[in-house]
Parts: sequence; C-alpha cells; structure tokens
Amino acid sequence: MGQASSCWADTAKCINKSDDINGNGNGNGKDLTQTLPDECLIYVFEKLGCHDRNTCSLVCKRWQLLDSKSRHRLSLHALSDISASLLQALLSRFSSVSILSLKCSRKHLSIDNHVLSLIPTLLPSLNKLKLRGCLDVSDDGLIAFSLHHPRFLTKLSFASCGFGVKGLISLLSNCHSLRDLTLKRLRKLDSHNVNTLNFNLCQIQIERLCFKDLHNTRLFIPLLCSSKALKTLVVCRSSGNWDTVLETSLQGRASSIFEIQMENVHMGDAGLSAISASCPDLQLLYLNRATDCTDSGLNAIANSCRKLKKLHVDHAGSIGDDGVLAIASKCCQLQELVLMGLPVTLVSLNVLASSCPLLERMALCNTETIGDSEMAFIASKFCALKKLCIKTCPVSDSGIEAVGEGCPKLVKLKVKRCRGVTQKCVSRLRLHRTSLVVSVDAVWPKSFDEQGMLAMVNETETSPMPNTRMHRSTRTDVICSSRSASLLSSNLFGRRPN
Amino acid sequence: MSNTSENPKPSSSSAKMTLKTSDNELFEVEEAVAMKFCTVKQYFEDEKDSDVAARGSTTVIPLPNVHSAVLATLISYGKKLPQSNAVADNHEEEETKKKERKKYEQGLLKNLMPGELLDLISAANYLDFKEGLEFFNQALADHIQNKSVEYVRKFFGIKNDYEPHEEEKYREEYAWAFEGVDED
Repeated sequence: MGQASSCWADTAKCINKSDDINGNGNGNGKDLTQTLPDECLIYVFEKLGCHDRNTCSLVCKRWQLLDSKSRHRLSLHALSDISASLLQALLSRFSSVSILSLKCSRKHLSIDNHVLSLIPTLLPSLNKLKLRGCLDVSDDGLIAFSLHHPRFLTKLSFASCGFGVKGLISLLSNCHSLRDLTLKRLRKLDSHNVNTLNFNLCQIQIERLCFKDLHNTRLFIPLLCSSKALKTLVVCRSSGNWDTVLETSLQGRASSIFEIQMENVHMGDAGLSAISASCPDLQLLYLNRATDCTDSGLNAIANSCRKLKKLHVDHAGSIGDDGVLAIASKCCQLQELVLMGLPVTLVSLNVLASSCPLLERMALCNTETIGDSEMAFIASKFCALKKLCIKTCPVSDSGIEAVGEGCPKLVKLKVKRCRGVTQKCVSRLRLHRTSLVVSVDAVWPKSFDEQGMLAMVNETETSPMPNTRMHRSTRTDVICSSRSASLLSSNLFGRRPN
Repeated sequence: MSNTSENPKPSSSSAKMTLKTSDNELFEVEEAVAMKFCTVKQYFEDEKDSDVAARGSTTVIPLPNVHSAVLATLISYGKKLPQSNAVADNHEEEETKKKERKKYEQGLLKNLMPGELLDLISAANYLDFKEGLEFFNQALADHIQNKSVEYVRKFFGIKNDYEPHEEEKYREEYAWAFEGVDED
C-alpha cells in the first residue's frame, strides 16, 4: 500500500481532465487487475448491463475472454445481414449464452431458416429463445431447429414469424424440455384450415401457454387437451369462441391450472363454469374485457376455486357487486383484488373485510360507487391492507383523510384522477403518515369546458372488440383502456405478466 | 486504515479468534464477525474436529494472502453488518443502523485508491466473505458503468493488446448487432 497520491475520486478527475497522462491515473503504469482472480472480474461484469459489458470486453483480450465466457443473455438485431458466418462467430464467442433474443423490425428482411437451424449447435446451453419479426423464418426452419432436440430449451416466444402448423407440430414433438410457449401474431397459423389438423401429441409437458393476437382459436383445442401439465394460460386479443375452447379442452378432467388470464376475448359464463369445474387449484384469475361474463359465472368460480389469491375484473361483461360478494364470502385466501368499471358497494366490501383477512392489495377504479363513505369504511375495516389504489372515483379529501387515520398496515397509496382530492390534503397525509408512500397525479383543473371533457373521454376510450358492452359510460366517467388498467395494477403490484 | 490489532474486551461474552496476516500482524476478532469469512469458518470447524481443538481460543488462523491493512478494513466492514446473533431491533433502531452503515460505506469508498479496492476484492474472495465481495464488487461496477474503454484502461493501468483492426471489428459488431438487455 502506501500510495501517497490523491484518492480515487481525484484519480478519476485527473483521467477525465487530460489526455497527456501517458497511461495511468494511478501513477504506476502497471495493470492493477492482473492479480485479481478471474471469478472476481466475472462477478463485476455480471453487475453490468449489455452496453457496459461490451465496453469491458474491448479493454483487453483477457477481459474479453472472461466476459464472453460469462455472458448469459444476448439480444441481437436479427437482420438478414447477420450472415450465417457472423452469427456463427458471435455465438461461438458467447457459447455460454442461455437466453437469446433475436429481433427484427418488419421493414427489414429477417434472418432465414438456415441461420435459425444453426442455433442449437452453436448454443448447446440455450434455455430461452425469443424471436420477433422474423418473417423469413418458415416451417422448414423451425423443423430443422427442433430436430436438434435442444436439451435445455425450456422457454420459447415467437411473435410475427413466418411459420405455421407444420413447424409448430415439429417443435412440440421434438423439444421435450419445453415448458413455456408464447405465440403472438402468427399469420400463417391463422390461415390454417382447422379440419386438416392432426395433432398427435401425447407427451407435452408444457406448463405455460400464452396466445396473443391469434385468430384461429380452434387450432389450440388439441394443444390444450394434450397439455396435461399446464399451470398457466394467458390469452390476449385472440378472436374465436373461448367458451367452446375452454369447455372442450378442460372437459372431464381435474387440471393443475392455477393461473388464467383472459384479456379482450369473447368469453362468458360457460367458460367460467368450465374453469370452475376443472381448476380447483386456481389461484389467479384475470378477466379483462372478457365480454360475456356475469355474476353467475363468477359465483361458480367462487364456489369451486377456494384457493383463489388474486382476482382482477376489468370491465368484464356485466359482472357486478353480487359477483364480488360471492368471491368475498367463499375465497378467504384472497390477497389481491383489482376491480375496474365494476359497481362495487359496501355490501361486498363488508364481506371482504370480514372474510378475507389476507387481503393486502386492492385497486378500485372507474366506478361512481366508491366515494368518501366507502373509503372511510375501508380505512376502518381493512386491517391487513398494504397497498391501495383508487382511480377515477368520486373520492374527495375527507376520504383520503379517513385512510390516513385507518389502514394501519398501509405502505402505499395511489390516487389517480380523483377530482375531489387536493394537493394540500395529500401533503398533510404525507406529514401525518411518514412511512406511507403516497402517489397522486396532477389534480384536475377546477373548470374545464365540454370540449376538453370530450377530448379526454375520446383519447382514453378504446374499443378493441365490436359488439361489447364496454361503452357504458356516464358523462363523468372516463374509461381507461385495458392496457392502462394493467399498467395501473402493474405499477402498484409488480411486473405485468406478459 | 488502521494497522493495529484489536484490544480484547475482558467482559465480552462472545468468543474471540486470532487471525494472522501475511505481514505477521495479529488481529483478535469476535467470533461472530470472523465467521462471516467462510474460509476462516471452515478452518475453525476443521480445527474443532481435530484433536487440537482443546487449544480453544488461542488458535491462530493464518491468512498468508491477506495484508494487515486490507484485513483491518474487511473486519471493520464486517462489524458494521447486521449480526446474525443480535437481538432483533425495532423499526427505528434498524433505520438508524442502516443510515449509519450507509454513511460508513460512503466514507469508506471515498478515500479508496483503485489498487486498494482491487486488493479488498481479492482478499474478500480469498476469505469467501460474501457481503464484502458483493459490496466492493458493486462499488467497482458502479464506477465502471457508463465509462469509455479508454477510461477503464487508464484507470486500471491495463495495456490494450488488441490489434487496431480487431478492436474496430468488435466495435462495429456491437454497434449494429447488439440491442441491449432484453426484458423477458
């Protein structure tokens, strides 16, 4: 030790200042990292993002070698300019990569089948693969890829790629380690004639299936039927009759499914009944704009799915307070509840308070029925509540003050678009409850004209599905789109499930 | 950084161990802190099993790869960590301790030379001191973040052993092929 020169911060300043330091700010001219063990350098690299890792790998050959050996995630632009030899060189350098993402924008030619088929040999430890916009990847490519039987591949995600049913079947038949599959916007699958389908899949061990923006739903009935180990099902913006799909694929078996998310789909009570009959272990249910659901369907869920922990209902058919009441009385393990555009009242809030002692996170949005008296009730009775979000409800300062006086375990409060809440009240609350994080968006202006009001309603209203009952709005209601709804809940409660 | 050994507290309830550094300095350390150095812990447990365990707390554990100045800092950092055998504090005491630790950590890093930081990392690695390793490696990562290649080379005194065309090739690759960390 015993270097009498300036401390670290000053060293850095020296380096930044002048370029005529020949070599080193530390003054000695020798490589300080020479005696640092490889595993320590790797440890440091693992704390850095891709850009900084790239920088480190350019410092010297030793650093490059260590970075390449220890890089596990790679995300590349999958342009056709990435020739087979370049990809080969890249993937040989980063042979420990277990997570690979190849993205191509639709404006460019994407990587082709040959390149795709090389990947399993170049990356034997590949665990997760994501392809986006690789329109030039067709059935042949996927078949060639899957015939390598990649041993460690557990997760695949395809969006906007050019393959169809043949490729998909080959994938499912040959990649036995696959557990998680996401299919999004695959036009060739959409155009496949269902009647000629021949799925012969007895050994699928898939645990998570995600379908987004697909329009040939009946295609997936045999897939769902064969996935006996399925635990999570996510369906988003996919047309077709999901009542039929659920009834047919869940029929007559006790399934191990514990998470179901249905978003922007045609589904009603028949689907909910099918779920309730087959999924006794259901823990998570999201119904975001599932068009035809009613209280009766939710009641069926309440009766059978006693382990329910998380429920989101966002403008789902005509589900109302009675449905929530049914859930509240039967699902005592409920931890998280998000209700949007649902006229929840003190009747069900009362039962929630008394029967759901584990309820920690709640969001109530877009309903005229939540006002100051409901807030006062929540404050006094919801003792386990840690996170609360109120959006576009007629709540005012007195409701917020009441929350401040109650909800002893509250850690986070979010208030959005509640005109009656003033900044002053929020400041007082922050002073009064120092350990509470309060998030409030800009208070609405006191006066606004009708034009302004209309503009606001128009910009936030979306209608992804025709013939639905989503356009129920009063003059003062502003309906948030499903996406913003998810954003709301995700900001409050954690990562948005994809 | 202090070079002196610890003064034993006569009324201390926890056992003490003696660690000997590469420059033959002796450090008497409370067992709770010393056990955070897994290498020491392993040595101690091996000793206990053997028949020289009867020697008790007079065992001197040699650390030939660690200089006294470095060990002093690591011990001092180890003492600031929450002790596993400590009585649980209430929320306020915990907050105060956290703030104190943060202040100490900032002070520690501020006066650190790059070479010293690397020595601390090497020593923490040798001692298998997980919390120390995490802290000092993070400090190093934080410092490298968003810096240029030239800066990093100069800072550590590393010589560029790339041919110019090699380096250029890699830079190009990164520029157009790499997209950055992808969220799953």
